[in-house]
Amino acid sequence: VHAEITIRHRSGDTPGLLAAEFGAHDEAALDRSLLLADPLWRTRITYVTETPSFRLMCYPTATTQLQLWVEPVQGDLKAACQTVWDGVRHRASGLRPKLEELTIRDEATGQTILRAETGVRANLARRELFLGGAGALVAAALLAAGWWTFAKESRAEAAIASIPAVVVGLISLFPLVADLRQRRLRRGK
Amino acid sequence: VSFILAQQVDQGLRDRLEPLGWTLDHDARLGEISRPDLLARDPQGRYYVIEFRFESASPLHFGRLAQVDRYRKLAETTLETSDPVRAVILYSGSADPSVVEDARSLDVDLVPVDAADLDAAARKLEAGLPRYQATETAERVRRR
Repeated sequence: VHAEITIRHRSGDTPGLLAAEFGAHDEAALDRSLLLADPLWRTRITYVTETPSFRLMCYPTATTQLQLWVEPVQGDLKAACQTVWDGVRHRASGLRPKLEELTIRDEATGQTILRAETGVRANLARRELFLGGAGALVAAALLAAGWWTFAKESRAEAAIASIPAVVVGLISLFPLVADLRQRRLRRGK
Repeated sequence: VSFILAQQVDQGLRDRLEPLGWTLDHDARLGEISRPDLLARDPQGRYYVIEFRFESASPLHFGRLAQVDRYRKLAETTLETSDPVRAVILYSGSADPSVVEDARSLDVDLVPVDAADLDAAARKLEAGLPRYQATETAERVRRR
């Protein structure tokens, strides 16, 4: 199993930044790769390193696009991808990196196991947001409708009654906002 | 959309190639568990390991070259053939020039698929993928 990551960024020395974040270039790590042991990749992959949990290979294509390959050494590949993405964002923040694609694939069967995304769209699709968000929306809609109709004579009570649902809805948004700020990877389509 | 495109391309390959004597196997296994998207065999007995990549709008990732190259090597050791096995990627979207160059070096045929001309991939296969044919043999011999 491995991950293929494509990142768009402003022009800059991405292999150098990766080395600063994840350690020095270690060409010998390529020999331990199942798929990238072909001599061709030794000349093409500009940065490779191995940590206790993953191997990371960097293949710069256009000057504003970076293709990464992540293989697990020990542990969870999804966590390794998050580590790599966090590292890229941290070290190359000046290059404004943007995750274009992240897929985890099984090289034996060729199947895509997981596709990850960042951003509002990916985060809004979270199931845990539905209950709180729907409750808040319904309460707000009822309050708005009742303000001029059935609750016209008791607006204060109607507003107070809707507060719990709205508060629960807002609280349910906290993890969404936190993950958006941290650009955490989410399962995509 | 990507699933529909893959289905349409697949149907296009069947409609065009099977009447000409090609066999197309979607369930082929190479070795213990490896399964390419498609294993094709032309009327002359030459095998083609074919991968589809229609699920993404991003440029073709270099990892797909490594993947299909591995399938090709597996095919050459597991299939009963003396001819070289061709490795092919049918893809939508773009491919960076460096990925295209490495595909040539690895002797992998990249066949872009345009939704407006779904039959093009089948026509190229039917013609024996002439795009790289002149250079690939020498390159491959050199690498070996």
